[in-house]
Amino acid sequence: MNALQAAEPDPLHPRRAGGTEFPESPPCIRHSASPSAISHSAFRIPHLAVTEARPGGSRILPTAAALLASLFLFCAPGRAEVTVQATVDRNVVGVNDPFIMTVVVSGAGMGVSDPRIPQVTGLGFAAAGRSQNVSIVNGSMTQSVVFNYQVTATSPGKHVIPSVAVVTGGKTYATDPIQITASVRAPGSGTTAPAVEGPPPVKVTAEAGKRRAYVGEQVPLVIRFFNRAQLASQPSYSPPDTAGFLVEDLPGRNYQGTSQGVAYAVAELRYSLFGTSPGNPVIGPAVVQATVAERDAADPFGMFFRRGRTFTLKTDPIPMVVLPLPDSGKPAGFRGAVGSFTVRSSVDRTSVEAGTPVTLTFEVSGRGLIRSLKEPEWPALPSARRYETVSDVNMKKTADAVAGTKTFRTVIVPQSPGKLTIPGMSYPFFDPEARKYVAARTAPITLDVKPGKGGTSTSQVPGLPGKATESDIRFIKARYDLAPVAEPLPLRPRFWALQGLPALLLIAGLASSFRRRVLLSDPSAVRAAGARRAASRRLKAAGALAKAGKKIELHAAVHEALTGFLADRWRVSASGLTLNAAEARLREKGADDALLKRLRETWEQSDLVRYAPMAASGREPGEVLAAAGRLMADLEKFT
Amino acid sequence: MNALLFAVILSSVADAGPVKLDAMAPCSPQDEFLRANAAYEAGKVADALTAWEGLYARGLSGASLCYNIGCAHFRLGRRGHAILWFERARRLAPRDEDIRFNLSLARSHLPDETVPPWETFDRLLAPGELAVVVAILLAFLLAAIGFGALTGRDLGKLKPWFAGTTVILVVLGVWLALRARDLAAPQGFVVAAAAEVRSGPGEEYTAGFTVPEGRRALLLSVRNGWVEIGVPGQGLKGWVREEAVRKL
Repeated sequence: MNALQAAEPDPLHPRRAGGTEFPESPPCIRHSASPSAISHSAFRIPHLAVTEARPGGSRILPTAAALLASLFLFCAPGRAEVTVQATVDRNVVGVNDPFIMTVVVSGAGMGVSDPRIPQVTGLGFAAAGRSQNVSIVNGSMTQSVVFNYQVTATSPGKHVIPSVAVVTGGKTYATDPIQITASVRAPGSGTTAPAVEGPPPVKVTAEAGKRRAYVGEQVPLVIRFFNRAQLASQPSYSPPDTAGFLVEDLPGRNYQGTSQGVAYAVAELRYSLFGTSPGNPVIGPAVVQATVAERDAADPFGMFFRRGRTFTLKTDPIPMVVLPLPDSGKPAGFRGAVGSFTVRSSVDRTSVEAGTPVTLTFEVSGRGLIRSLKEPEWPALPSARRYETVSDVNMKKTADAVAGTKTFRTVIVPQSPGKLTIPGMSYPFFDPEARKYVAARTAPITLDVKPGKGGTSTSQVPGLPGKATESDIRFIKARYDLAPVAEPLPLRPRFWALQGLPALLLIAGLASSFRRRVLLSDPSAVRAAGARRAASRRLKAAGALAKAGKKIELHAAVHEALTGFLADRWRVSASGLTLNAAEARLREKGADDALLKRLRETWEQSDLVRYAPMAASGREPGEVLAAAGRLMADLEKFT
Repeated sequence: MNALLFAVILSSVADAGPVKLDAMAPCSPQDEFLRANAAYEAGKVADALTAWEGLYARGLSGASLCYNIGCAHFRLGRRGHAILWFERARRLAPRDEDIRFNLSLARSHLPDETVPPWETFDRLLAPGELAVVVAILLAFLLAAIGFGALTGRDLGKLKPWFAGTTVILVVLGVWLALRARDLAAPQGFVVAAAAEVRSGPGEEYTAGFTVPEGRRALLLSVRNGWVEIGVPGQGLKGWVREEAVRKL
């Protein structure tokens, strides 16, 4: 026990280090409730509440207030007794096998500093979190702050975790030292649960069938989980890292076995590993995390609420040596097969007509990485055509090896009648047991090829009507048709963008149609909108009169154009429009005097010349027309 | 207006980006092409292939060039490459009987190969022709409607023509869209003798199946020198080494 306050030894946690109270420890109010206090807090208060809750009770509010006050009083932390305790989850550990140290500060209020962890040779500390607990027991509230550390012993032997100092309430408290024993485990044996008394409740081992193997050679790997305890939950399993190997799962099993004379339930996981390249790969540790149920015999509720103790078990890494396949004796046609195999070939018929397909089957059976076997080197058959090879795999996994059959099938089509002999085929592989290359061979197969129907010697493959009835390609082309490489037209963005042009035309047409419909529904609006164009037409006609030397008619046309323009804009009759009325309307719209003066001059001049030809000014006809045009342009914004 | 539109479309067909035909070449592409043809006829297939592929590498293409390259690959026993080039030639000249024959012969060792329906459709209308026809019909239809609306003329008498054109346009438009989608899809061919298809991009993954040389494949993704391929019609998918496939 590391507690600063003396406490009874805890029979359930024998590894805890005890502690002693500091002489200067502050006075504290003990809330170790007496039987009377328990009675009061546990029974009297509910009784009061039920009593005072009766209907018609007029004192319910004061009573409730008193109840809350008493609750607050009982639960107030006050100056609780401060204890600081350090524990570890196990005292016997493995080198580089992390364990947990917990520092619990109980009875302190807020403001607990982080413990000062001393430097210890051979031990490494890493903070693993801080938590705070508040508990109320019999109305007494206690607070505790828990600091967790992951500790790793880096060297074997006995180590001591010295006192850990914690400052709270302005005072310093220290825990007792803790003894740790670190040991180096034998490689390959895996890890066990930390030793308590007797054999470990759970342990895990990894065992490789061999430590040296050739590339592609099968290496069995067995992971065994031993258990003789009751587990609180399903263990979790992380398979080992097998970089550098191809892995095939093998069937696992469960059985009752013994280890070092102790009976265990054993769960066994099996793998077959195949080295992919020469080197020194390492099979990483498999990790099992298991929670063993613990029962407290002194706790009457122990049968219902079992504690769990979690063990993280790792196997030791297994260094391997993967040897390259020997170069000497490597046969021609070797395609990387490693294992022990037999081969067999067959055809689905031995008597066929020319041009009729025959299925040639080649089977490789044995132990090895069946799935990755390459197809054989098919023999050249000048008088037959051969087609695509298809393959399928039939795996037969036993408890200690991968075996099975890989079947390759191809179609051959004899081209001409006669005897067609398919030579025996060789399938070289490397036998790691014999440490040499072996070539398995099939027997030759002879086909009796009869003339095909129609006497043709060319073939027709079923399913390909009309295809490949000739045996050679056609000749090259001499026509020069080279052009820069270009994307197909449907993939060019510009092509698709061009499709927008007719759409734009359509939109323009529809917009124009819409506008026309709107204008037709209001003829006066059409007239107003076309006033300028009508005036231009009139001035153009006046220009023709001017060219003909008809000055009087010219002025009459100008007058008509001007009055017509204003009348059209204002949607009134031109004959009823007077100069004064026009001036008044324009002035209302903000026309200035200069513009009105130009209007008056043009209006009166053109009007006067119509009736007094001698009054015509000396201005050129073109000038008159231009001035009238400018005037109407300036007037438009006020109409 | 339609004539103008057609001219613009044709100009877009002819526009193929900056290509300098013979700026770096010792002789004209035509001479080089003909010399390669002569080498092929003389039995120097590898030399001819090098020359033709050099022309292609200079940004030149044509049905004859692709066809000849396919022939050379076939002669050299590279069926996968031959199929790739015959397919390129077929896309440029879908009605050419020689191309179709050689393509069929080159892939005759693939009895279960699914031949795309486009090979038949392309003989009716090549993708470029299809695009031009759709563009012209669309332009006529929209321009006629727009012109009618613009001038206010009654086009009621042309309604049956409009309806028929619209139906044809919809059919051709769907055809064009599907064809464009197929052309845009990243496709390729297996050019290795028998490519092992693995469950992941690396030798450490197990080989699930093999695909024969010349098999058409969809190129789905690339990672660390490995290409994820899908085999159309067979529902198979996996990873092969990058050098085992060539993009169309």
